[in-house]
Amino acid sequence: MSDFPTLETERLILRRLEVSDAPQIYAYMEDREIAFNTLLIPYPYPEGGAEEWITNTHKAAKAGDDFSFAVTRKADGLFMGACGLHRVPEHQRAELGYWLGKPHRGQGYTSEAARRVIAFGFDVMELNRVHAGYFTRNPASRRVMENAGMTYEGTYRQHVLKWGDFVDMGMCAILRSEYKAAKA
Amino acid sequence: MPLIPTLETERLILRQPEATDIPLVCKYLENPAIADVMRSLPYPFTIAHALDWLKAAHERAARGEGYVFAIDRKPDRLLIGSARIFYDADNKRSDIGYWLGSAFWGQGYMTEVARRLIQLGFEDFGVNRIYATYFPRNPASRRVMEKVGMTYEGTYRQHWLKNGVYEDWGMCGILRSEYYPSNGASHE
Repeated sequence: MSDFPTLETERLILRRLEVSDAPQIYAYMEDREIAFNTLLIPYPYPEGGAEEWITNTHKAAKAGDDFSFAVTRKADGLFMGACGLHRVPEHQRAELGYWLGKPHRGQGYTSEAARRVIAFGFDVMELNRVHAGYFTRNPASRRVMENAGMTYEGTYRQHVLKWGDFVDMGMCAILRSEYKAAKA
Repeated sequence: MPLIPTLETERLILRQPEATDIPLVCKYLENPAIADVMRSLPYPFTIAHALDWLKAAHERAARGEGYVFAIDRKPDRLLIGSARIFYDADNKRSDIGYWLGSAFWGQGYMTEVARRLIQLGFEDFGVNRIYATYFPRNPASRRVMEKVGMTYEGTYRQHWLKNGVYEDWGMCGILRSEYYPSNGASHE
Protein backbone atom coordinates (compact mmCIF):
# COMPACT_ATOMS: atom_id res chain seq x y z
CA MET A 1 0.00 0.00 0.00
CA SER A 2 1.90 3.04 -1.23
CA ASP A 3 0.18 5.64 0.92
CA PHE A 4 1.69 4.60 4.23
CA PRO A 5 4.94 6.49 4.79
CA THR A 6 8.30 4.80 5.10
CA LEU A 7 10.83 6.59 7.27
CA GLU A 8 14.55 6.09 7.50
CA THR A 9 17.16 6.69 10.17
CA GLU A 10 20.87 5.84 10.37
CA ARG A 11 20.20 2.22 11.37
CA LEU A 12 16.46 1.72 10.93
CA ILE A 13 13.65 1.54 8.41
CA LEU A 14 10.25 2.44 9.85
CA ARG A 15 7.49 1.08 7.63
CA ARG A 16 3.91 -0.12 7.69
CA LEU A 17 3.30 -3.22 9.80
CA GLU A 18 2.58 -6.31 7.70
CA VAL A 19 0.96 -9.64 8.50
CA SER A 20 4.36 -11.24 7.91
CA ASP A 21 5.54 -9.47 11.09
CA ALA A 22 3.05 -11.48 13.15
CA PRO A 23 5.31 -14.42 14.10
CA GLN A 24 7.95 -12.03 15.44
CA ILE A 25 5.31 -10.10 17.35
CA TYR A 26 4.09 -13.25 19.08
CA ALA A 27 7.66 -14.18 19.94
CA TYR A 28 8.47 -10.77 21.42
CA MET A 29 5.19 -10.60 23.31
CA GLU A 30 6.12 -13.67 25.32
CA ASP A 31 8.17 -11.21 27.35
CA ARG A 32 5.69 -10.08 30.02
CA GLU A 33 7.64 -6.88 30.56
CA ILE A 34 6.21 -5.26 27.42
CA ALA A 35 2.61 -5.55 28.57
CA PHE A 36 3.65 -4.79 32.15
CA ASN A 37 5.02 -1.38 31.23
CA THR A 38 2.42 -0.28 28.71
CA LEU A 39 -1.25 0.58 29.04
CA LEU A 40 -3.13 -1.53 26.53
CA ILE A 41 -1.08 -4.52 25.43
CA PRO A 42 -2.57 -7.73 26.83
CA TYR A 43 -0.67 -10.55 28.51
CA PRO A 44 -0.72 -13.38 27.66
CA TYR A 45 -0.81 -12.05 24.11
CA PRO A 46 -3.89 -13.58 22.49
CA GLU A 47 -3.90 -15.86 19.47
CA GLY A 48 -4.85 -13.82 16.41
CA GLY A 49 -4.02 -10.64 18.32
CA ALA A 50 -1.09 -9.70 16.11
CA GLU A 51 -3.01 -10.05 12.86
CA GLU A 52 -5.92 -8.10 14.32
CA TRP A 53 -3.64 -5.32 15.56
CA ILE A 54 -1.78 -5.10 12.25
CA THR A 55 -5.03 -4.82 10.30
CA ASN A 56 -6.25 -2.15 12.73
CA THR A 57 -3.10 -0.10 12.19
CA HIS A 58 -3.79 -0.07 8.45
CA LYS A 59 -7.35 1.13 8.99
CA ALA A 60 -6.24 3.71 11.53
CA ALA A 61 -3.60 5.13 9.21
CA LYS A 62 -6.15 5.46 6.41
CA ALA A 63 -8.41 7.39 8.78
CA GLY A 64 -5.49 9.77 9.20
CA ASP A 65 -4.84 10.17 12.92
CA ASP A 66 -2.94 7.06 13.88
CA PHE A 67 0.40 5.89 12.48
CA SER A 68 2.03 2.76 13.87
CA PHE A 69 5.40 1.95 12.37
CA ALA A 70 7.24 -1.33 12.32
CA VAL A 71 10.75 -0.70 13.62
CA THR A 72 13.13 -2.74 11.43
CA ARG A 73 16.89 -3.03 11.24
CA LYS A 74 18.18 -1.51 8.04
CA ALA A 75 20.99 -4.01 7.59
CA ASP A 76 18.81 -7.10 7.38
CA GLY A 77 15.20 -5.95 7.62
CA LEU A 78 14.72 -7.67 10.98
CA PHE A 79 11.48 -6.64 12.66
CA MET A 80 12.32 -5.45 16.19
CA GLY A 81 9.26 -3.63 17.52
CA ALA A 82 6.87 -0.77 16.92
CA CYS A 83 6.66 2.98 17.34
CA GLY A 84 3.68 5.18 16.62
CA LEU A 85 1.73 8.37 17.02
CA HIS A 86 -1.93 8.73 17.91
CA ARG A 87 -3.27 12.19 17.13
CA VAL A 88 -6.04 14.15 18.82
CA PRO A 89 -6.79 16.56 15.98
CA GLU A 90 -8.82 19.04 18.07
CA HIS A 91 -5.68 19.90 19.97
CA GLN A 92 -3.06 19.26 17.29
CA ARG A 93 -1.23 16.96 19.62
CA ALA A 94 -0.30 13.29 19.46
CA GLU A 95 0.76 10.65 21.92
CA LEU A 96 3.90 8.69 21.13
CA GLY A 97 4.10 5.00 21.99
CA TYR A 98 6.70 2.30 21.41
CA TRP A 99 7.91 -1.14 22.36
CA LEU A 100 10.92 -3.14 21.34
CA GLY A 101 11.56 -6.87 21.59
CA LYS A 102 13.83 -7.79 24.48
CA PRO A 103 16.92 -8.83 22.48
CA HIS A 104 17.07 -5.42 20.79
CA ARG A 105 16.99 -3.14 23.80
CA GLY A 106 19.94 -1.23 25.15
CA GLN A 107 21.27 -0.24 21.73
CA GLY A 108 19.53 3.10 21.28
CA TYR A 109 17.08 1.84 18.68
CA THR A 110 13.99 3.04 20.55
CA SER A 111 15.29 6.58 20.90
CA GLU A 112 16.34 6.58 17.25
CA ALA A 113 12.88 5.43 16.16
CA ALA A 114 11.17 7.88 18.52
CA ARG A 115 13.22 10.80 17.20
CA ARG A 116 12.32 9.95 13.61
CA VAL A 117 8.62 9.46 14.36
CA ILE A 118 8.53 12.74 16.29
CA ALA A 119 10.04 14.47 13.25
CA PHE A 120 7.31 12.92 11.12
CA GLY A 121 4.74 14.21 13.58
CA PHE A 122 5.96 17.79 13.32
CA ASP A 123 7.04 17.87 9.66
CA VAL A 124 4.23 15.88 8.06
CA MET A 125 1.36 15.72 10.55
CA GLU A 126 2.03 19.37 11.48
CA LEU A 127 1.46 18.75 15.13
CA ASN A 128 1.99 21.36 17.83
CA ARG A 129 2.85 18.87 20.60
CA VAL A 130 4.00 15.28 20.99
CA HIS A 131 3.72 13.75 24.42
CA ALA A 132 4.40 10.35 25.90
CA GLY A 133 3.50 8.70 29.19
CA TYR A 134 5.47 6.15 31.14
CA PHE A 135 5.17 4.32 34.41
CA THR A 136 7.72 5.80 36.78
CA ARG A 137 8.77 2.27 37.80
CA ASN A 138 10.13 2.05 34.21
CA PRO A 139 12.70 4.88 34.14
CA ALA A 140 14.28 3.54 30.94
CA SER A 141 11.23 4.79 29.09
CA ARG A 142 11.74 8.30 30.41
CA ARG A 143 15.33 8.15 29.19
CA VAL A 144 14.11 7.22 25.70
CA MET A 145 11.81 10.23 25.73
CA GLU A 146 14.51 12.61 26.91
CA ASN A 147 16.96 11.22 24.36
CA ALA A 148 14.34 11.95 21.74
CA GLY A 149 14.25 15.61 22.79
CA MET A 150 11.32 15.54 25.19
CA THR A 151 11.05 17.38 28.50
CA TYR A 152 9.66 15.90 31.69
CA GLU A 153 6.43 17.66 32.69
CA GLY A 154 5.13 15.96 35.79
CA THR A 155 3.84 12.80 37.43
CA TYR A 156 0.23 11.86 37.97
CA ARG A 157 0.47 9.89 41.18
CA GLN A 158 -1.21 6.46 41.27
CA HIS A 159 -3.10 7.49 38.16
CA VAL A 160 -3.36 4.03 36.61
CA LEU A 161 -4.55 0.76 38.15
CA LYS A 162 -2.33 -1.70 36.32
CA TRP A 163 -2.74 -5.38 37.10
CA GLY A 164 -3.73 -4.69 40.69
CA ASP A 165 -1.19 -1.97 41.47
CA PHE A 166 -1.68 1.77 41.43
CA VAL A 167 1.19 3.14 39.38
CA ASP A 168 2.52 6.65 38.97
CA MET A 169 2.42 7.94 35.43
CA GLY A 170 5.05 10.39 34.30
CA MET A 171 4.68 12.58 31.26
CA CYS A 172 7.20 14.01 28.84
CA ALA A 173 6.57 16.16 25.80
CA ILE A 174 8.14 18.16 23.04
CA LEU A 175 6.58 21.23 21.50
CA ARG A 176 6.71 22.33 17.90
CA SER A 177 8.63 25.45 18.93
CA GLU A 178 11.29 23.28 20.61
CA TYR A 179 11.53 20.93 17.66
CA LYS A 180 11.98 23.82 15.26
CA ALA A 181 14.58 25.47 17.46
CA ALA A 182 16.55 22.25 17.74
CA LYS A 183 16.51 21.80 13.98
CA ALA A 184 17.68 25.36 13.28
CA MET B 1 -36.05 8.91 42.99
CA PRO B 2 -33.50 11.23 41.41
CA LEU B 3 -30.53 9.69 39.67
CA ILE B 4 -28.16 12.22 41.19
CA PRO B 5 -28.01 12.40 45.00
CA THR B 6 -28.38 15.52 47.12
CA LEU B 7 -25.35 16.52 49.17
CA GLU B 8 -24.94 19.19 51.79
CA THR B 9 -22.18 21.45 53.02
CA GLU B 10 -22.26 24.14 55.69
CA ARG B 11 -23.72 26.75 53.33
CA LEU B 12 -24.65 24.88 50.15
CA ILE B 13 -26.80 22.13 48.67
CA LEU B 14 -25.50 20.08 45.71
CA ARG B 15 -28.38 18.43 43.86
CA GLN B 16 -29.57 17.06 40.55
CA PRO B 17 -29.81 19.79 37.90
CA GLU B 18 -33.28 20.36 36.42
CA ALA B 19 -34.75 22.16 33.41
CA THR B 20 -35.88 24.95 35.74
CA ASP B 21 -32.19 25.73 36.34
CA ILE B 22 -31.60 26.58 32.71
CA PRO B 23 -32.44 30.30 32.75
CA LEU B 24 -30.08 31.06 35.64
CA VAL B 25 -27.32 28.80 34.28
CA CYS B 26 -27.46 30.59 30.94
CA LYS B 27 -27.55 33.98 32.67
CA TYR B 28 -24.47 33.24 34.81
CA LEU B 29 -22.59 31.87 31.83
CA GLU B 30 -23.14 35.07 29.89
CA ASN B 31 -20.03 36.23 31.71
CA PRO B 32 -17.21 35.12 29.41
CA ALA B 33 -14.78 35.00 32.32
CA ILE B 34 -16.23 31.64 33.38
CA ALA B 35 -15.93 29.79 30.06
CA ASP B 36 -12.55 31.44 29.56
CA VAL B 37 -10.96 29.30 32.27
CA MET B 38 -12.88 26.10 31.61
CA ARG B 39 -11.79 23.43 29.18
CA SER B 40 -14.92 22.87 27.19
CA LEU B 41 -17.75 25.05 28.40
CA PRO B 42 -19.28 26.49 25.25
CA TYR B 43 -19.55 30.24 24.89
CA PRO B 44 -22.09 31.65 24.31
CA PHE B 45 -23.94 29.04 26.38
CA THR B 46 -27.32 28.68 24.78
CA ILE B 47 -30.50 26.94 25.87
CA ALA B 48 -29.59 24.15 23.44
CA HIS B 49 -26.26 23.77 25.24
CA ALA B 50 -28.09 23.74 28.56
CA LEU B 51 -30.43 20.98 27.41
CA ASP B 52 -27.44 18.93 26.22
CA TRP B 53 -25.80 19.57 29.58
CA LEU B 54 -28.83 18.21 31.44
CA LYS B 55 -29.08 15.21 29.15
CA ALA B 56 -25.37 14.44 29.49
CA ALA B 57 -25.63 14.71 33.28
CA HIS B 58 -28.49 12.24 33.35
CA GLU B 59 -26.78 9.80 30.99
CA ARG B 60 -23.50 9.94 32.88
CA ALA B 61 -25.20 9.20 36.18
CA ALA B 62 -27.19 6.38 34.56
CA ARG B 63 -23.90 4.83 33.33
CA GLY B 64 -22.41 5.07 36.82
CA GLU B 65 -19.67 7.39 35.59
CA GLY B 66 -20.21 10.28 37.96
CA TYR B 67 -22.45 13.17 38.84
CA VAL B 68 -23.09 16.71 37.66
CA PHE B 69 -24.66 18.88 40.35
CA ALA B 70 -26.51 22.15 40.55
CA ILE B 71 -25.31 24.20 43.53
CA ASP B 72 -27.87 26.06 45.64
CA ARG B 73 -27.14 28.59 48.35
CA LYS B 74 -28.88 27.40 51.49
CA PRO B 75 -30.90 30.30 52.90
CA ASP B 76 -32.85 31.09 49.73
CA ARG B 77 -32.03 28.02 47.59
CA LEU B 78 -30.70 30.30 44.90
CA LEU B 79 -28.76 28.42 42.21
CA ILE B 80 -25.22 29.75 42.18
CA GLY B 81 -23.29 27.36 39.94
CA SER B 82 -22.47 23.79 39.05
CA ALA B 83 -20.02 21.09 40.08
CA ARG B 84 -19.12 17.66 38.77
CA ILE B 85 -17.29 14.54 39.76
CA PHE B 86 -16.47 11.88 37.16
CA TYR B 87 -15.76 8.27 38.09
CA ASP B 88 -13.33 5.97 36.29
CA ALA B 89 -13.99 2.48 37.63
CA ASP B 90 -11.06 0.88 35.78
CA ASN B 91 -8.51 3.09 37.49
CA LYS B 92 -10.47 3.81 40.66
CA ARG B 93 -10.05 7.53 40.19
CA SER B 94 -12.23 10.60 39.95
CA ASP B 95 -11.77 14.07 38.63
CA ILE B 96 -13.65 17.13 39.76
CA GLY B 97 -14.67 20.46 38.29
CA TYR B 98 -16.87 23.41 39.22
CA TRP B 99 -17.93 26.90 38.26
CA LEU B 100 -19.88 29.63 40.02
CA GLY B 101 -21.68 32.75 38.87
CA SER B 102 -19.30 35.67 39.29
CA ALA B 103 -21.47 37.31 41.97
CA PHE B 104 -20.62 34.36 44.22
CA TRP B 105 -16.86 34.40 43.86
CA GLY B 106 -14.56 35.32 46.72
CA GLN B 107 -16.70 33.78 49.46
CA GLY B 108 -15.03 30.39 49.78
CA TYR B 109 -17.85 28.56 48.01
CA MET B 110 -15.56 26.87 45.47
CA THR B 111 -13.40 25.49 48.25
CA GLU B 112 -16.48 24.27 50.11
CA VAL B 113 -17.74 22.53 46.96
CA ALA B 114 -14.39 20.97 46.14
CA ARG B 115 -14.04 19.64 49.67
CA ARG B 116 -17.50 18.03 49.50
CA LEU B 117 -16.74 16.42 46.13
CA ILE B 118 -13.51 14.97 47.47
CA GLN B 119 -15.39 13.56 50.45
CA LEU B 120 -17.93 11.98 48.08
CA GLY B 121 -15.21 10.51 45.91
CA PHE B 122 -13.26 8.84 48.69
CA GLU B 123 -16.09 7.95 51.06
CA ASP B 124 -18.84 7.00 48.60
CA PHE B 125 -17.13 6.08 45.34
CA GLY B 126 -14.21 4.56 47.22
CA VAL B 127 -11.67 5.84 44.72
CA ASN B 128 -7.93 5.78 45.26
CA ARG B 129 -7.21 9.13 43.62
CA ILE B 130 -8.99 12.39 42.87
CA TYR B 131 -7.52 14.98 40.53
CA ALA B 132 -8.43 18.25 38.91
CA THR B 133 -7.04 20.27 36.06
CA TYR B 134 -6.75 24.00 35.48
CA PHE B 135 -5.16 26.52 33.16
CA PRO B 136 -2.02 27.90 34.85
CA ARG B 137 -3.06 31.40 33.80
CA ASN B 138 -5.89 30.92 36.30
CA PRO B 139 -3.88 30.42 39.50
CA ALA B 140 -6.95 30.94 41.69
CA SER B 141 -8.10 27.51 40.57
CA ARG B 142 -4.88 25.89 41.74
CA ARG B 143 -5.20 27.68 45.10
CA VAL B 144 -8.64 26.11 45.63
CA MET B 145 -7.21 22.68 44.86
CA GLU B 146 -4.32 23.12 47.26
CA LYS B 147 -6.66 24.44 49.97
CA VAL B 148 -8.60 21.18 49.82
CA GLY B 149 -5.50 19.07 50.18
CA MET B 150 -4.43 18.48 46.62
CA THR B 151 -0.81 18.53 45.52
CA TYR B 152 0.44 20.09 42.33
CA GLU B 153 1.74 17.31 40.06
CA GLY B 154 2.79 18.88 36.79
CA THR B 155 1.85 20.87 33.72
CA TYR B 156 1.14 19.57 30.24
CA ARG B 157 2.41 22.39 28.06
CA GLN B 158 0.18 23.59 25.22
CA HIS B 159 -1.96 20.52 25.68
CA TRP B 160 -5.30 22.14 24.98
CA LEU B 161 -6.28 24.20 21.95
CA LYS B 162 -8.99 26.64 22.98
CA ASN B 163 -10.25 29.42 20.76
CA GLY B 164 -7.11 29.25 18.66
CA VAL B 165 -4.74 29.45 21.62
CA TYR B 166 -2.68 26.55 22.97
CA GLU B 167 -3.26 26.41 26.71
CA ASP B 168 -1.10 24.74 29.31
CA TRP B 169 -2.89 22.24 31.46
CA GLY B 170 -1.99 22.01 35.14
CA MET B 171 -2.86 19.03 37.31
CA CYS B 172 -3.35 18.59 41.02
CA GLY B 173 -4.21 15.37 42.79
CA ILE B 174 -4.97 13.86 46.17
CA LEU B 175 -4.57 10.22 47.12
CA ARG B 176 -6.67 8.02 49.35
CA SER B 177 -3.63 7.53 51.56
CA GLU B 178 -3.55 11.29 52.08
CA TYR B 179 -7.28 11.58 52.77
CA TYR B 180 -7.12 8.67 55.23
CA PRO B 181 -3.64 8.98 56.65
CA SER B 182 -2.66 5.90 58.61
CA ASN B 183 -2.75 6.38 62.36
CA GLY B 184 0.55 5.12 63.64
CA ALA B 185 3.19 7.26 65.13
CA SER B 186 6.22 5.51 63.77
CA HIS B 187 7.57 5.86 60.25
CA GLU B 188 9.71 3.44 58.32
